[in-house]
Amino acid sequence: MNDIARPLRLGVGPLLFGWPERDIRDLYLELAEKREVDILYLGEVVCSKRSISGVTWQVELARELAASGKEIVLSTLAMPTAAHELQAIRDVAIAAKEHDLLIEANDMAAVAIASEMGVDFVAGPHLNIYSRGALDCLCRHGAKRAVLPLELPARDITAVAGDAQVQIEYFAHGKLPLTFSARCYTARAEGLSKRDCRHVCFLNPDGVEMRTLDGGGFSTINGIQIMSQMPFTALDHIAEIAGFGVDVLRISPQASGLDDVIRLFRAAMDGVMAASDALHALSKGREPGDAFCNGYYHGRQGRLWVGK
Amino acid sequence: MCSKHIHEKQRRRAQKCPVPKGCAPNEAMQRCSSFIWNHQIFFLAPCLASFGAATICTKLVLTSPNFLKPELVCPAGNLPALKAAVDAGGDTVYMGFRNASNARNFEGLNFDRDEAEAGIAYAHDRGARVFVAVNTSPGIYDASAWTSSIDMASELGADAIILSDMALLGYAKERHPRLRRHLSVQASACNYESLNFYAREFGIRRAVMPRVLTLDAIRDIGSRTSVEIEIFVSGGLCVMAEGRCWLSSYVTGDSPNMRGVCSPAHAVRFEEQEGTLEVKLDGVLVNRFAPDAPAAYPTLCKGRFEACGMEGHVMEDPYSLNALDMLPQIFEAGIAGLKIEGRQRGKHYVREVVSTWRAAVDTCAADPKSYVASPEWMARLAATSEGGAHTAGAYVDEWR
Repeated sequence: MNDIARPLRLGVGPLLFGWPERDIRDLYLELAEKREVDILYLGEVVCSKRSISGVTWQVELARELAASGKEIVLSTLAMPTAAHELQAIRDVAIAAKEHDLLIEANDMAAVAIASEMGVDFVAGPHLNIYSRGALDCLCRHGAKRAVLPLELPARDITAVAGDAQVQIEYFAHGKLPLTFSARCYTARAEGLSKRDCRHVCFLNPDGVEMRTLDGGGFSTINGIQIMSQMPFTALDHIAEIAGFGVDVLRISPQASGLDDVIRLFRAAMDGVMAASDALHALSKGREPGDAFCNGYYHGRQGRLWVGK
Repeated sequence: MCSKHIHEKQRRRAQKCPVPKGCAPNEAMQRCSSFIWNHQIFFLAPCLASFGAATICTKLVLTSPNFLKPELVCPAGNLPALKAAVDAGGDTVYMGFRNASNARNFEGLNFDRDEAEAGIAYAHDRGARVFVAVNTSPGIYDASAWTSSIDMASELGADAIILSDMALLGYAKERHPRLRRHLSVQASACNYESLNFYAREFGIRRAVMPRVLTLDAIRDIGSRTSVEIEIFVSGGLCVMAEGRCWLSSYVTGDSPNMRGVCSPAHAVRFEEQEGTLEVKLDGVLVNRFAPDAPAAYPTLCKGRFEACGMEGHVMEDPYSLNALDMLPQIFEAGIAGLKIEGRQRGKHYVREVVSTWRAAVDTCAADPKSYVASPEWMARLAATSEGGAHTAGAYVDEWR
């Protein structure tokens, strides 16, 4: 974290769901127009099978978005196992170096490649940064900003990041990406296999709901990833988060309600609206606990809502 | 050298000459590698090379299927299980200390200093190695439980330490440079770039692969790194990328990375509801059983849920991992270690599973081409597995 206090910036994280490229492009062109947003992350994190047009498409869109004046970050895959997936990360790093962009590293392979090529990176939430030693190691290799693990209580940010010379980004809103597997659960739920998935996730822009046998909400299936059932939000804790030395708040995009989330976060960040009022508005008449979870913020079960 | 109940004096003498007279070439090569490992005499490599024996000093040949059978790495949740694993023919046992420093921080498990000392002596006296897992992260907490665990492993003469957190890897490298460092599965390193990074940065010598890779992918990784590869072959099947799963803390507040537990016992409740047995984890319904059906432990990813209008095991069936069928391919892939899961299981389980795998590995090593996993071995493993059914998991593409 930097010694000089700077205003919080608002970032929109990489789209974690599987969408057709045309829809992704429309989303990002729209986001580029929003003055509330400072940073845009672009790139497939979950499943390489979704990237139909590959890195070239991602980089061209990134360059187009850069004209908006926003900081553009090229996100990379969280669990690269195949040679072509590692090559894609390398290609992204080459493009980032050429166009002076940051990449988001979500696997140690991306850290290794970025370090080797001298490309600065954001250490994404899928690197395990639970300790100061881990953070320091990543900084030595070129991390300029870091997203700590989502399960880490917010009060621990200071303890982990301390006076490290790196910006800290906090996952402040969105469905929590909880885990990755080799298996595609969307394909499995639809009676398909990962190999022959037919891009079934493109039909579920906000993922597939997984419920308990008694009908309770449980989680969201997103390809090889399981996410929280409800979006996490720390909208009502913005002032406190700033006090922890956080530089950037991340909103993880989804199909429904993104405009409201961005507008209300910005309003609360700028002090135009009280955070509690912003949360009330975002909840649209529901109890916040019926619409969101925030347990991780308080060091509790991630699925819970803990009121103030 | 590897015979049971050998005296320490004899063992030391035997170690001076790792290859007894009349030893078969395969066995001789394995004994040489063990000798080099135990004594960390890698500096001898150039000398050996000059005598035309350079091949035994390269990982390529040390793990080549034509020369070496992989090491059987066996679970030791307590001293009786450790002894059972060694007696049943385990080449190596892995264990953890009784604190939050390892990813099996279950009540009643693991070793205090005296037990660890006795366990390491028992294993070493019988020619077996001991790995110590310190594979959770201290996070923001006082790291002394973790660093003192590393110190203790070194002092007690452990053969390797299994780590995942970069801070601890750095600590071990700096303070105990001669203690072999293995990368835990909890580090979730699933490609050669990651392994080579950890090797450059922290000098890791071996890595345990997360259960998300096909055997073909593992073979490819092994061909692009000098880091030895260890894979899980038997026992509980983690279907998520280890070290990158927060499902347990999402539901119960405790996670493998931060507390060394998954779906912890303290959160489990069994409740009778109108003739069915409901199993809940911190109040979340994870499964339902008929009254006379055996109720499996409610590990979250093996629970029954509903998705797309269908009820069932949405993430994974309650199967155990069993790669017995794949042993020839595993040998061919040049894998150094075959890891058996189950530090939470008792000595009877360990004895049964280790002896079965010992027989299978030895049979395959003798003649890989005609190797077939015997029905008897399969039945023995099925009888001990938690779900009673087996899968090769992600090692085969169809599982995905």
